[in-house]
Amino acid sequence: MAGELVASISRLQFATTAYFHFLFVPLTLGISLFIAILMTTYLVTKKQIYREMARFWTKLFAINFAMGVATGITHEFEFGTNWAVYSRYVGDIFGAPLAIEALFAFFLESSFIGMLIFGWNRVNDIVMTLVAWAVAFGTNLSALWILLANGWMQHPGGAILKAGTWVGGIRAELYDFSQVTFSPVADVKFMHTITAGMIVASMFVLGISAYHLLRKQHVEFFKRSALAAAIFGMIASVSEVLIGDIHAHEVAKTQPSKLAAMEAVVESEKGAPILLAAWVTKNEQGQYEYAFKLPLPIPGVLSFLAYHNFSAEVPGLNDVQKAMEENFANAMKEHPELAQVIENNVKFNGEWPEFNPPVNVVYWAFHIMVYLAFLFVFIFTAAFYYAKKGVLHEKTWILKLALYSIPLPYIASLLGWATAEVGRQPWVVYPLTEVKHDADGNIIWGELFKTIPAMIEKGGQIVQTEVPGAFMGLTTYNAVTPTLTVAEVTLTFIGFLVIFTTLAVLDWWLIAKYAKKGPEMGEEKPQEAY
Amino acid sequence: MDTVFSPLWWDVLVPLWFVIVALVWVMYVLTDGFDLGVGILVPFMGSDDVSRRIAINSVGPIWDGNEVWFITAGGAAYAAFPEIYSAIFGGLYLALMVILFALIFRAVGFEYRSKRPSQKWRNFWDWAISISSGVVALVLGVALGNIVVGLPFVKSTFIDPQTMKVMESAVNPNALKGFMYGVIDQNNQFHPYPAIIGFLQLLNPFFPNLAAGIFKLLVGVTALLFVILHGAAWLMVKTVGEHFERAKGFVLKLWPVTAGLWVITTLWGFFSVGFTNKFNITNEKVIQQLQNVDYHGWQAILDGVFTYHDNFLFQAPALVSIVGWVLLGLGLLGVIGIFVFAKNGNAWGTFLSSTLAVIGILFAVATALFPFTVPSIYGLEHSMTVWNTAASENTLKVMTLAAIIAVPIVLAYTAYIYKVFLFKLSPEQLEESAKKGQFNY
Repeated sequence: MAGELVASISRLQFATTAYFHFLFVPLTLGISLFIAILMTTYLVTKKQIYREMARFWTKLFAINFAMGVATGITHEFEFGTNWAVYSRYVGDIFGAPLAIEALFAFFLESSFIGMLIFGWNRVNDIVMTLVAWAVAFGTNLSALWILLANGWMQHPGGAILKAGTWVGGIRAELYDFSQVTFSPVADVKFMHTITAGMIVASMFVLGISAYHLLRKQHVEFFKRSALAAAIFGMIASVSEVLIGDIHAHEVAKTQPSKLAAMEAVVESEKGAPILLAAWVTKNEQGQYEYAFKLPLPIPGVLSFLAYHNFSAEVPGLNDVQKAMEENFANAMKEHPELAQVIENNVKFNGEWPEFNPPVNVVYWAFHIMVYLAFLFVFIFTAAFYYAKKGVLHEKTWILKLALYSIPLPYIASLLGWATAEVGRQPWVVYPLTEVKHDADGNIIWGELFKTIPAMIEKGGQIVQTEVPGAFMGLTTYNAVTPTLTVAEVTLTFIGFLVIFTTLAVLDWWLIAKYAKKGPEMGEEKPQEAY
Repeated sequence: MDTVFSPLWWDVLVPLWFVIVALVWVMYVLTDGFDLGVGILVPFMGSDDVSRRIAINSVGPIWDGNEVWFITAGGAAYAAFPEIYSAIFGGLYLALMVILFALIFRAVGFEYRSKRPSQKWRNFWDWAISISSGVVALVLGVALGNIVVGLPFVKSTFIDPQTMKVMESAVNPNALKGFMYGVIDQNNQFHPYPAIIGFLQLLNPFFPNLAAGIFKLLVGVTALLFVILHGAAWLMVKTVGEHFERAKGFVLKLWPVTAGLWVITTLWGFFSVGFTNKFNITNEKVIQQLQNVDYHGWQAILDGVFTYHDNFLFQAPALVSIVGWVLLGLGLLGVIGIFVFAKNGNAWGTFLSSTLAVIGILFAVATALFPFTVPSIYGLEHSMTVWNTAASENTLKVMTLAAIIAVPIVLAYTAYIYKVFLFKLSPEQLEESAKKGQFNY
């Protein structure tokens, strides 16, 4: 099917551009905050070295930021160019956070980034500090609105289904904006992401500091940078483990298929243990089964982490498929007037899709990310311990470990997004779901969906009623732009791949060049470019 | 209009958001317009490195903030008119991708260009900036021309999915695919075409007919020239001495052809792309509506009947026509001002005149379109108006509140940042500035 192929390549293209974007965004999130803190420290302590530090890290930040912007614009385009049906169906809700992001956050960061780069010695240091805070605030606020939009796709609350738009179809409209902004799924996602940004930035600063300390150059400058990064990173990585736990708990409540894939749970199980490693295959009957598994020999850990109850039932892949099909069929039966919506939005070629994501990808993405998180806690704690004692510059092993670990937080971030977005498949908008347990801890499989309001035509009249959240669901394959052809998407996909790879390599090469050069200390020297 | 969709607030908010979205686009052209123009002019400022650095640094600290108007314009269009967003972005796939790649090159070009002393490296990025800036201006201009002329799409609900015939009325009320780009043949048979054809049709001077086809390309070239003028005017503001003279030279040399093309394009538009041409004079429904005197007036505007020269020829309510003519007059005043002030070496006069020209001309185009947003060349029932593409009342309320709070703040700090970087650039200044430990591109 050509349509299927267009959707698949569009997915690949979106994934590629999103990944490139997120190779530059997390550093921006964290290091902007780091620079603002350095400038504030300078104002308070009046020690020139903190100003030098802020200037040096701003230089690297600026090179990084260009790519962040370039890759970021891509997405606003792609929602419309590749996912036109998606934009039609939910654009009334999804567009608002994007527009608000531009108005409140992106303007702030983009306007003041110019000042942060070019303002030094043109405006006074108090203004520069405020500028640094404006950039940090802007970037993180930007992340908030984008993640509210993304969080809404995972758990689309606050919407009403309405009939009668200009094409005579049905679309989701905004009903309650507070459910979009205060969605617990989105808010915890935001915390999780900005904390990840702080970890990326801390490892970046710690690693580059380690590089110079290993060469015994600018020792005073980089000892301070390393200590600051270690403190920043230790706080961030410990918080991240805790926030990650809350995040997984929200996923367990709202996205049973994602949870089942993240933990490779094949059959629903009460008092489920956690698997340290696993590989899942499908047998001839289309049922999932383990190729191998290595459980942690303490029962109920997964049940507890997911539902804060050692004996709660954890959804398994095979049950999710069955329950989803049943719930959707019921929704169609209860609301025949809306049955066409599910035919169009959920079924593909008249058949139910696979309701589970690619299990092994999600399982390993999630688990490697978690294992890396514990490594980060260790590195930052060790670096902090030695830096506090003033001997970090002598501990070659931790310096080398930090230097070679610079890519790891990036990898962890990308794996996190793989968990979230591959784990969401086959959905682009997940049906509004809430996993409920009865008093014995069994999942109530018949009531997977929350109810949502709808304005539908009944007997020639438009009435407001309530329908199951099933009708919010939109699968990726049904969301793609209908006029696209394989040739065009392939062309642009290869274009993005080639151009972004080239530019990213160039970008990091420039960052490495300026990072290795180190700060220009002492009197302000004339600089040819920067 | 069906009762669910026309509460009172919505009737007020929808046209308001037409104005706001138009305003954001105009802000984009005003701000990013001059840095696109400067970008195009970079290699023409001189073959020496310092002249080119002067051009780049004239927009260095502000281009990024300017470009956010583009993001905001896209975002505002998405939030307030989601149907338009999905129809335009999905339908004009390749055109948007071209703009996108150009914007990416421009963004990294500014940042990378001065990071290495190599002359080859710098030369490469100078041309990358110039060409990509030009491509953005030209493609956006052609896109505007195409929107005024109308795009070749039909509502998918008017197509019988079995026979692909275009029906008199909607046949599939549950269709979710919105719109389809394609050709309708004599037998009313619909042939969808892929985006690659859609892209080529944008540039095709014979489509939908020769007069309209030439018009839309004229709009593109005129837009490109205005952007260069606007950039040259900004360079006049930011430079002194020989570089000022060069910038002034650009304005004076480009002005006659720009102004001339603008006059031709405007007149051409009046006589060739008017309402009846666009919807094909045989479209009986349109003629009926035009003949029905009672129908003229606000109700017709509400139903989306008038557009383009009808708005100017007092067939629409007088207020719309008057506003249109006043805007066109302001545009003319600006265009004349550019030359007069440039001749006298008045930099600010030149820049403010080109600002006035952009505001007048673009708002006149918006007035001409209203209440259409994107007409379909296949007729009224397929066209997008503000009414049949707008977001819900709740979304528009949230967005209005957000705009009321955010826009004054944005304008305030943008003004402050512009003020900080409003000094004149010269080779001596760049050297001096480096000695002070200031950063420059």
